[in-house]
Amino acid sequence: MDNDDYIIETQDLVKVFNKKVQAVDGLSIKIRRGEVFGFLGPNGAGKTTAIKMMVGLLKPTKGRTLIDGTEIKAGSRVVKERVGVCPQEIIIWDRQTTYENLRMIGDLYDTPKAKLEERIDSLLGDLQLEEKRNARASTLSGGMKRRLNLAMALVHDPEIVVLDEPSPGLDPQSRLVLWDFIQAIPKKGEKTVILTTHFMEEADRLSNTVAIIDHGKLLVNDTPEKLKASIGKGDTLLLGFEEAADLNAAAADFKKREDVLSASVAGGQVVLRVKDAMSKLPELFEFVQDHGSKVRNVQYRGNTLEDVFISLTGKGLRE
Amino acid sequence: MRWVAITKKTAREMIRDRGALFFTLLFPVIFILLFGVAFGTFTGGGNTTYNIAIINYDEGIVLNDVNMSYGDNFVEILKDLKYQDNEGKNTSTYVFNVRTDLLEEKAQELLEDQDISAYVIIPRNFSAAVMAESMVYVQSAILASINFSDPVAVQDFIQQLMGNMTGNGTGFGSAIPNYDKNATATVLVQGDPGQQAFFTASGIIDGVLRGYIEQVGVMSLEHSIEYLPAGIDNEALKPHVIVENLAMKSSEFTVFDYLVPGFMVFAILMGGMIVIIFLAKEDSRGTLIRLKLTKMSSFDMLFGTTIPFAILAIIQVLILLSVALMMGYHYNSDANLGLALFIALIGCLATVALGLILAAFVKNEDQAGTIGPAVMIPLSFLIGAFFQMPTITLTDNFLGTGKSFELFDILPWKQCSKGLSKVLTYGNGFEEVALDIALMSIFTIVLFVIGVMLYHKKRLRSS
Repeated sequence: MDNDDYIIETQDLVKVFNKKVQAVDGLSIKIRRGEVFGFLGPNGAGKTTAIKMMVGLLKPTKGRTLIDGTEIKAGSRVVKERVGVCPQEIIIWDRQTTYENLRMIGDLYDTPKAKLEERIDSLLGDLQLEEKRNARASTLSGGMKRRLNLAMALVHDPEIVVLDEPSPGLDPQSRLVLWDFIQAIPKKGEKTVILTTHFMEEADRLSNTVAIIDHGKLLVNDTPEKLKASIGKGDTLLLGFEEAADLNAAAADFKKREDVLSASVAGGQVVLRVKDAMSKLPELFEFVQDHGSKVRNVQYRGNTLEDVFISLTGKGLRE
Repeated sequence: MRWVAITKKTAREMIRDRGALFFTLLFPVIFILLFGVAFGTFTGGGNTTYNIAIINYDEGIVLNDVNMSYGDNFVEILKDLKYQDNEGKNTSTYVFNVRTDLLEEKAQELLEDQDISAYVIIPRNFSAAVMAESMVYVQSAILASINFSDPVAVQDFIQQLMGNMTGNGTGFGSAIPNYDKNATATVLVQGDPGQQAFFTASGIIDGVLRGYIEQVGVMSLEHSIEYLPAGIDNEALKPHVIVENLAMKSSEFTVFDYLVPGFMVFAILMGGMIVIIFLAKEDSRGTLIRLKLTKMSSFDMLFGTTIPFAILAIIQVLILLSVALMMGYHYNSDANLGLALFIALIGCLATVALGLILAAFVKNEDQAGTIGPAVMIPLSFLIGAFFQMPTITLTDNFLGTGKSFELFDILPWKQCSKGLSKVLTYGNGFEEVALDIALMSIFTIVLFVIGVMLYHKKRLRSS
């Protein structure tokens, strides 16, 4: 991958709804050709709005988007031809069959018939929908509908694939099928994938580059590895306390300890990053008891993108 | 072609939503069935027997020493009145079921209970007034028979006439009975103007009364002819309008026949509900966003959507026509069905255009289900689908055609209703409906342009 081969660039994108609600605030990012670019942020962070402006569905209040160096206009046909968007909601026509849904979308992109039939066969196979080819969409399971939703974004073989929260509500098996498929997309003809998600595991596992966004603003933008490394070495401990416990006071107490690199409250738990955390556990429990509290449960893990988000915003992704 | 993909999708969704399709097609059919039963020929051969009451105060007159009551005669005529078939033979169905045993108060009570459609009050001097009216007829006929261009002949005629009248008493003078020349009478037909049956019954009573008075005049004239002087133009004396008899002809046309074209337009308008709901659904379920992501243009979307709905509306018109025929609709044998369908098609396109305008403003199916009927049903009344509305004439000589142009004529469905009526009921051809077709086409195009612009601006353009 050529590091400077950018396919999409946004310059100071701003979107204000009804002159009041600022959904996106000065977003400037560059997306490399052939990568999976992850947009990570909590619900309402402005990810979908940003994506809509990037694909010409929404006019920015300010700023612009360039595709291959050319500024795009809202509703531009060139953009429509090059971009395939899988919306966050499952948007399919229930009374059409799987095949009819795909065929209709392909026809609306003017895809040549032979190529379209080939694409439909390929997508139905890859997304394990072949058996449901002639089944009405209304009869498909939730996971199958979501896979069909994805296939409809890809049927015209776009150069840029935008996947807006593609996996909520999926069972683990369907999610794995979907993730394998998404990972394989860029390998088929240098395609670029823009993935928005609030699942840090999804972003971490699938993305080459991750941009973390909150309140419409870009917080960081780098590879997952570099982002995780940026918050320092150490392990993460998640401590659950009794309901009556003052979590903020506990976090403040932990911060005073030299072996605790950081302490914050997120998701109703105290989140600690501690050097050599496992060996320090008995000592930490004793510390809690000395301060009149009691730990009810503890989780241990390495650093994640969620920790990056917590370190940047002081809150969890789902808060 | 992208619009073909939209057409296929729309058609599939429409056909596969069996419940909505069934009720869309069924709704106007139910209306036409109900009205067919009420006003058509399906029940009782189309001849409804109306319950009426007659309160006869007529005192009669003395004619050549004979008591004569035209009021009694008139009552008997109404009692015996039967519908006739197309060959002029009496059917077994009486036009009226007459009650003569009621006082006014009781008749009014029965009217209010809708047990009778009307009651008739024959005044005391009815016979005298009928006599006076018939004499006016006789005198007019005699005057019409005199050749006033020949003064000598006129003088001769008057002398002979005077001689006859003053002769031995067997002359013309004896043919003219003593009667009250100033007698006038008002026959009152009382009913509820809100009831269709009252209008029909009172119309028939009025027609029979006029025919009866004319017939009395004709009989008086025939009686007078033999006393007239020689040389008079007897041919000119013969009645120019002949009232064959007072039987009620079972007209080939019923009220239902005049309603059917309006019902077809009503069905077309109600079909527009599907357009609004369909487009609202496309928006509220997000599928419109998916379509907007593709290369689909506004034209593809709207043209592709229009075609299945136009086909559905045409099918609906054909179903309605079939049901109407089953219900006794007198479809004119000269009617050009293709021309009628063409007119209906333009009506459908106008409805789709209206659907686009409304769909531009509704946000979901619920709103569509509320706003759609709120527009379509009053519109059906405004175009006179069920009954004639008061007219607001804008010009009496529209484009030099000698035809009037009314305010609601700008609604293409009004032209559609008129066109369908002219073609199906009266059997008119293209020439007679050309102006209606031209006007509705122009108004439909205007509506369509507005609809496309609004829908594009509000729903298809990037926000």
